Amino acid sequence: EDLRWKMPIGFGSNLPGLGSPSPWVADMLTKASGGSIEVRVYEPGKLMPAFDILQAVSDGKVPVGYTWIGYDQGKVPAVPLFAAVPFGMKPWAFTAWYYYGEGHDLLQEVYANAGYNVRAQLCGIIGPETAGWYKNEISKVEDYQGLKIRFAGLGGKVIEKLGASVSVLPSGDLFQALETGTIDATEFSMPAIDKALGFGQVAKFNLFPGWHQPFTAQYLLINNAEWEKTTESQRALIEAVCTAAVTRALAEGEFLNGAVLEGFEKDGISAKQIPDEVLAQLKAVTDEVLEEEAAKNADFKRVYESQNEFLKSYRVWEERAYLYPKLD
Amino acid sequence: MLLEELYVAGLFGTFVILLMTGFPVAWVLGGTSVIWTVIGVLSVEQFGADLWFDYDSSLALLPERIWGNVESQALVALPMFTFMGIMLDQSGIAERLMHDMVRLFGRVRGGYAVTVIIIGVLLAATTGIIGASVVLLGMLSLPTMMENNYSRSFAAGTACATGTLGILIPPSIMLVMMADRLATPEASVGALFMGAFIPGLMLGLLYIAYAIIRPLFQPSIAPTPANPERITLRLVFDTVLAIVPTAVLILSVLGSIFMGIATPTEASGVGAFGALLLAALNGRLSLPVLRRSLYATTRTTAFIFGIFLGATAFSVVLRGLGGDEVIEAALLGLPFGPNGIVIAILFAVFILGFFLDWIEITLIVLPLVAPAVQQLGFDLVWFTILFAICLQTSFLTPPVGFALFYIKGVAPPEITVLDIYKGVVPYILIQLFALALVFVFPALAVWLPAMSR
Amino acid sequence: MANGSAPAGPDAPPGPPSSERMPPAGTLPQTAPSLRIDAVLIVIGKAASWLWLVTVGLIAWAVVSRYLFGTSTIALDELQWHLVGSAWLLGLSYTLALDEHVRVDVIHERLRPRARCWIEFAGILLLLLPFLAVAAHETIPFALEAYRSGERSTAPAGLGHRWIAKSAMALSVLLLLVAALSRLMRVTAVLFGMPRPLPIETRTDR
Ligand code: NA
Ligand code: NA
Repeated sequence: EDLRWKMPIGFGSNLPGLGSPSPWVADMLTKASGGSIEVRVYEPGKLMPAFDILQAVSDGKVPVGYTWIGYDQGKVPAVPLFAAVPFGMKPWAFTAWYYYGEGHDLLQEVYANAGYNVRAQLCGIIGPETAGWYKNEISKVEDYQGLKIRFAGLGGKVIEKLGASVSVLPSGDLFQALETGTIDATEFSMPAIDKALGFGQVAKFNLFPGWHQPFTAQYLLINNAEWEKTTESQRALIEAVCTAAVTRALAEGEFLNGAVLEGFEKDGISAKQIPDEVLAQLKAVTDEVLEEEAAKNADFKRVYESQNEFLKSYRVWEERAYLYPKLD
Repeated sequence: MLLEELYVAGLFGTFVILLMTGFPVAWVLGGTSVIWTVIGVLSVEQFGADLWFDYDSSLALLPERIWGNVESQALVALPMFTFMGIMLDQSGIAERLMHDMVRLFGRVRGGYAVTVIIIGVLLAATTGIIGASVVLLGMLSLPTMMENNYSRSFAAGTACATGTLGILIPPSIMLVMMADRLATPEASVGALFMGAFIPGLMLGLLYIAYAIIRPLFQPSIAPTPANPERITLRLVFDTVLAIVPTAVLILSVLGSIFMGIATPTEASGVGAFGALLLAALNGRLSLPVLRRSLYATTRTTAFIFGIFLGATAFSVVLRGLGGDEVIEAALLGLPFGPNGIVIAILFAVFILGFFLDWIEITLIVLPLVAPAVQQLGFDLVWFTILFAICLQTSFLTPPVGFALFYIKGVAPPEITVLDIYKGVVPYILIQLFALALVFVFPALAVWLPAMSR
Repeated sequence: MANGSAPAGPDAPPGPPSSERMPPAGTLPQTAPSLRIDAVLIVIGKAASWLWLVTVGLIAWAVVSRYLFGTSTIALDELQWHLVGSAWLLGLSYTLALDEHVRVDVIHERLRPRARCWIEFAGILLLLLPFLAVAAHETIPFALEAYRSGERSTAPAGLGHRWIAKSAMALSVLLLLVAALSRLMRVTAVLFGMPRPLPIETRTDR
């Protein structure tokens, strides 16, 4: 049967890597299926607010949706582990765990256990974000005390523990909030995306590394009944296109970010590294937060343990095999 | 595409026809969307129409979309600015201002009209709505102007037009709503407030120029009083004193937004708090007054959000029937250049403004045309301010013009509807002139927002 | 855009003076059941109105505490829209009971009262009630789902219990349904004498 998919997306398709894969996926599915899957993209808010995509797909109100699933941590506590993990894996390591480890199957179970009627397919990934845009530098861990900051995901819980006041404003409100001092700092995404949102005009310090989000993953959420309707060839195509989108998204971000960073310097933005001892403290708090979350939610625990299990052997390989950036 | 065009035309047509029955706008919007959902679903399921339409991805999304309006931090400002306006109306500040300024400017030809405009601009900078200012200006100024033999149409037109400035000069609930619908950083509430500031003041100055120049050529419409009061230092001092509370409120609201001390949402709350305080200081704050103001805020806010409810249903059905594509194709297919397309949109909005009010136009039309305009490479703040000036004008254009109705409600009986219509015509022309100025000199709208970056 | 029976508007001048200025044209008679229903809706609407004052206080507090003590909490910010949202949601049926939802009056005001009643009758049956039925059918499960999933704010220190605000949405629609039925009774009282219209013009308190 021919499928017609209305696909709401969580980020504007103008945002490279984060939103831009969605029209690409739609286009590929439509063309490569010879029209047996036709996909129309709906920009955020056109059909519904971006935060409601999971629910709408699960209810079958829309057949599919494309989004960063970490926004649903208020409904499905384990989901951030699939979306972005502080001090977590690098993008390619995450794909290793997702495709060849337990990742993909665990995600389906997590959704099912939380009562959602969706099938999730990894369909885009980007490299590290920046640690954000700040009006003042972070040079010691006390600088987080009283900081009003927009910080999504588990990283938000970490700096919340360090005394920051954390909100999760949507991208459209960030510039204004930063400009007027509603917030002192924000993270959003990688440089190529942050540039589009103009943060550099109002906050002069761009901090690195992106400890809170070494990878950021987007998913195609498909309603289960809709998935049941697909033929074998349609399924194969969906999986192939999404797997390709993962590569394309990563490539797009890696291609753009360096040039963008160079441009930032010309605009008088100071790129600063968060000192190592601060990072060490952030890491310690991150471990605490992850343990706490694992204690609160059984699915979180299972996924967390599976990732750690994979990392145990992976680290051996990673540490031996890869060059450190500074030695490249 | 032809099929979609038919359905979109049918949807709009049904809406306009049902609107004319006089049934509440909110429910006409909601009901029309249900009717066309039924038609759309039947067409697809029974007659195999080639449409991307179904109930699930349109009307079934109603709760998600209503929720989007509930969880909006920006929309908190809407009832707050409304309450502020209503409270200010009750505080007696404007009365005192009018009383003192009339004594000061009375001896100049057209002086009463100029006074009304100055007070109107000051009120506009403190309230986000227009009804209160139109009614207030009308009640306070029309009897005085009639006593001094001003022409009925000149007097009514001036009070009426000046009252509409409140919706354009920030703070403004219309601009809050527009920013909410556009949902992009470049057209934030703050940016739109700043963008509207200069065009709003400019309109005030153009009005004043008209109120001074026209009587020079036609002295009979604004005779100077027979024995005007002498201007004493005391009188000047009293007038200045009367302006102080208003000035403080303007500073605390607009100043805090422009200087980056508070977000527009916070400023709205602070402004409401300030208005309460002023009413208390003037001895006007009693429990019945407070109660009345709160209840009035609920009714006003609820009726605006009622239209939100209907309009969000209407928009999602429109979108489901392919409305976005139809309208974008229609706009971009116009045989004009980019400027011509913008002019065509503004002309359409101006014409729509005769029949619809700003809320429906903002909720339904603005999100439809803004992407097309942006795609043409225009500045969104500039375009939105032009759009806003058109909508401000719509308050003055018959048959459906809020300001006309309000002024009729408070005008002395000798002022007829025809007087009011005649009186606003010159102001409508001034509006169009201002629109042209902002169109030709975009800096009028974009300079201030750009400065603040 | 004018209003059929009262000068409401974003822009409506508040309070009694305005209603004296523009007496409602062709007000519908009350009936025994609708009078009671409306009274309840009005009490709810008026009670909700006080939430504006609470919001003013909250915002003032948030601003002061930010600048004086350098503290700000997400929960306080979220509370603002929770309150504002609940207030207008609950105000919708109050506004309907008082017939202050805006109308386009160009043709309407030239019609005879009975013709207007027929329009009102058809409008409630064919436009308002179907719309509210759809809204009820969708908003109730939406609220239940928020309860089932234990939905809370995405911000770590944000508010929990999203189901409360989402229930206000469903409740609002249910109250609107009640208000619409009450108004329908007042229309049928004129058209068919059912239920019996109350003899004296019973003024509903704004
Ligand atoms: Na204003
Ligand atoms: Na008009």
